[in-house]
Amino acid sequence: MKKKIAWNPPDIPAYRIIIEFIVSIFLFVLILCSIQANNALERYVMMDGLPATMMDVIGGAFSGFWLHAAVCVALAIRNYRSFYTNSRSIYLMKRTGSRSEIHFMSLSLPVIGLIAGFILAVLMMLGCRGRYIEMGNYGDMQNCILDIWRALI
Amino acid sequence: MIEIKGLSKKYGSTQALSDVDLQLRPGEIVGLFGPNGAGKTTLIKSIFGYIPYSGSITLDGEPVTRKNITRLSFATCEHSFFPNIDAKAHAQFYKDHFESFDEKRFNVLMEFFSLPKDKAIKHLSTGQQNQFEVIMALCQGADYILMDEPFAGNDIFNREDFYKVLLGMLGPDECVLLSTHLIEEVSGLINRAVLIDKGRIIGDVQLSELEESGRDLMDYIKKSFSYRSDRVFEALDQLVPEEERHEEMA
Repeated sequence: MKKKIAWNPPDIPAYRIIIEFIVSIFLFVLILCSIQANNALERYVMMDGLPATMMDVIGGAFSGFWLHAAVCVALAIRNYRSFYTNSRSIYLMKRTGSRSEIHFMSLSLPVIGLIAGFILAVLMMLGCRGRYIEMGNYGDMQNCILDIWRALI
Repeated sequence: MIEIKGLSKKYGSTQALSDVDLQLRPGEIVGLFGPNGAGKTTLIKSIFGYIPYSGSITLDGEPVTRKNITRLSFATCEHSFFPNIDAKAHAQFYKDHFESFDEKRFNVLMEFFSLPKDKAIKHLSTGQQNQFEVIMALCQGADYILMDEPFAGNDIFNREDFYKVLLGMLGPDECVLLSTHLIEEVSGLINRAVLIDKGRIIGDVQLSELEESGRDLMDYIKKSFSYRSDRVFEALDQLVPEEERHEEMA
C-alpha cells in the first residue's frame, strides 16, 4: 500500500506549524540576534568606552537561537499532546501498522524548524564575525573559530 | 480467534482484572455486561495492548502486535477520531492506513445517519460524534470490532437504527464485542453474552442456549449478579414508613 507521508499530526495543519516556525525564526533568530549583535558592535565603536570582544558580537548573534529552540521543543510537545486532546486519537494511531509514524508526525517539522533556525543563526553569526573583522584588526583566524565554537556551546 | 488466557491487571492496589479467560470467535456478536468498574474497559484496552497487563492475548495464535493489530477496530465513548478534521479527511487517513477500509460502507453509513462529510468532527453533536466513532470502527475493515459504550449520549431512535444497520451489514466472519449497559436493547442483536464483575468473568452464555431453556437474558444476568429486587423496598422502608408510602402511592 502506497502511503502518503504525513509531516504533521492530523489535528494540526502543516501550514499552521510552518507559520509558527517562521514567526519564531523571525522574532528570535533574526530580530533578537540582530539587536544583540548590533548592541555589541556599537560597544565596539566605543560607545561605552569598552570595546566588545568578538565573543560578545557573535555570541549575541546566536543567543536568540536558544529561544527558537525552546519554541521548537514546545511545539513538538504540543504535537504529541494533540493525540490526547479533545479525544483519544492516540488509540487510532496505535492501531495503525507503523510504530514510528506518530513520532514522525510530531517531530519532523519541529526538527526542520530547529535546523533552519540553527543554519540562520550560524549565518548571522558568521555575518557578525565578518563585520567585526571588517571594523577592526582582528586577524587571528584561530581565535575567531574558537570564539565561534564558544558561542555555540 | 481472539484468545485471552489468565489476563490480570492491577491499578495500584485495585485488582481490575483477575485471571480472565475468554475467546472471541469469527462471526460472533458478543455483549459484554457488567456494572461500572467491573473491568469491561480494562479488558478491551488490554486486548489492544493500550495498557500493560499480565497473561496472554493472541489473535489467531499470534500475540497482538503492530503486524496484526489492523485486524482489530475500536469504538470508544472516549472517542478516537481526530476532532479538528472532517469525515472526508478521516476516510483518507483510514484508506492510507488500513488496506481493507470499506469506503462503500463508509459512504452508505454517513448518508444513512445524515452526517456531514465536510465539517470538522468537533463541530458535530455528541450523538453524531458517537455515530461517527462507530462508523469508522465498522468501516476500518477489521475482523474484530470492539466497542466500549459506543452509544452513550445517543437517543433511543439513533441506537435502534444502529442495531438494525449493524445486523444487516456485518459480514459472516466479522466479530463484534459490544460493551454496554443497554442490556435489553442489545438482546436482539447479540448471540452471546459475557458477564463480568469485579474483574472476573461470572457468566458466558449463548443466547440460543437461553432460548432453549426458556430463560431470557435479563433474568440470566440478574441471577448471575445475584440481583436482589427487594433491596429497593428495604431502602425505602428505612426512609419512609410503609403506611406513608402506600398513602403517597395511592
